[in-house]
Amino acid sequence: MSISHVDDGQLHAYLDGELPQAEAWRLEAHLGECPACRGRLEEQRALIARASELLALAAPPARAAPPFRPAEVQPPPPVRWPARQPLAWAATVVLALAAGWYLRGESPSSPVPPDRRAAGANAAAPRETARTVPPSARQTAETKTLAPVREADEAARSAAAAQRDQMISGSALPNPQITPLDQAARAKAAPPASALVAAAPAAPLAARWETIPWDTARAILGVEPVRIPNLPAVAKRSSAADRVVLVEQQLASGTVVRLQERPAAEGAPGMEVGASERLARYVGNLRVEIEGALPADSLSKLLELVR
Amino acid sequence: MPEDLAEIYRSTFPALVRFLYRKVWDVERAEDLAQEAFARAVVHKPESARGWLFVVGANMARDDARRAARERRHLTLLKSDPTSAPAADEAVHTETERSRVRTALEQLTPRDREVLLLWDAGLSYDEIATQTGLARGAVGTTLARARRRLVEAFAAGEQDEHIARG
Repeated sequence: MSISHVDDGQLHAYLDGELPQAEAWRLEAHLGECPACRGRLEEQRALIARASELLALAAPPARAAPPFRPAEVQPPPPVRWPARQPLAWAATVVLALAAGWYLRGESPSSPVPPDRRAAGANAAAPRETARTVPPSARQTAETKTLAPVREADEAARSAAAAQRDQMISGSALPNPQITPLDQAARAKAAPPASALVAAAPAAPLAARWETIPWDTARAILGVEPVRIPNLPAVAKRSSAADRVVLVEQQLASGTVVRLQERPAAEGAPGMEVGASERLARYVGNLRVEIEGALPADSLSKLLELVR
Repeated sequence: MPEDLAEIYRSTFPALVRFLYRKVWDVERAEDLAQEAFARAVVHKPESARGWLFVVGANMARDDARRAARERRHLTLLKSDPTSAPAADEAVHTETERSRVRTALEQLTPRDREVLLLWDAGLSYDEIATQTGLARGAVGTTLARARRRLVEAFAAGEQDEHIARG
């Protein structure tokens, strides 16, 4: 016989069906000729049964599993860009610059240098959202958050900040958005009614929008499309007839910024584009949407800078 | 993400609740924590979501227990008392058994308890080893010890009650 006796650990692994095949054969061979170990096997079998019985007594009352709520906020398949984690901080700074620039009160008609207009966000850590808002009143910002805002307080604080901000700028400034996972926080941080718009349901953006060259995008808008500098960007449109340009930029895996813009004379892009649940934000006629994970303090940081 | 999270949700959510329930002893709280763990998984997209969910859930339950302990300091613990409880005998009995098992579980070492609860929640030895840092070969030994202690602690608790009643 190759092994002397078997230990309890092996017996439990064997009874749990977790002993590797070769070891199981050796153990069975030994059991075949060792009544003492056969006796122990039966003891351990009874012990396992008893322990399971006790654990079953301490099982939670049977309840149906609630629907998979996180699925509702699951991001659409991300555009295939490489992850840009290191850019997260840069994006926050860009965001702040853009907001500062915006509040300086540029006239809506002045052409905006592309590198100054940006909405950005940062994706180093999950949950929450901040976004900003680009320039002149001809643009808008909208954001969307995937992850729950952890603290209602935080949300309330941010909302208050956003509200102050709104008074300063006199235009539709965003306030933080909260996923369905934190309804309580949402209730607490009741939005200042302004430009917070729940977009109508629609097919995923990527599915319906075709990529167009930058020249085409410029031709549609008459100006350089707004985008975050130094980030890969893709311009898209839904159809040749629709004069809305969508700029998609990936900040990090899972975090996508979408800017929708129409020619200045035509107002803000409509709401047909987002998925349901997606909250839209407008300033002037730019629609900004940030999708994905953002660090909780981005918005507060930003608002502080702006103030 | 290699696995479909919604599918994992269907197959794992009840097990995760069961696992977390033995930590927080409140089914609604356990469900909230499980939901929260899944919500985080949506964001983090972990490689092996199933094991990850149990790790994250266990961490959240630990934080939750600390918070609950702080809040409890100012409250009187209500113990289930079969003579005063208005519930039906059967429910009372179930509740008593539950709290006995709970007491017995609390007498295990944290590692033994963790391994036992993970196994009971349906994780394999490999998954348990990955999560706890134990060698795979040590999982069986740990389980053997944990089961024995659980059964012994439960029996000892029953005996104490008999003595207390006279």
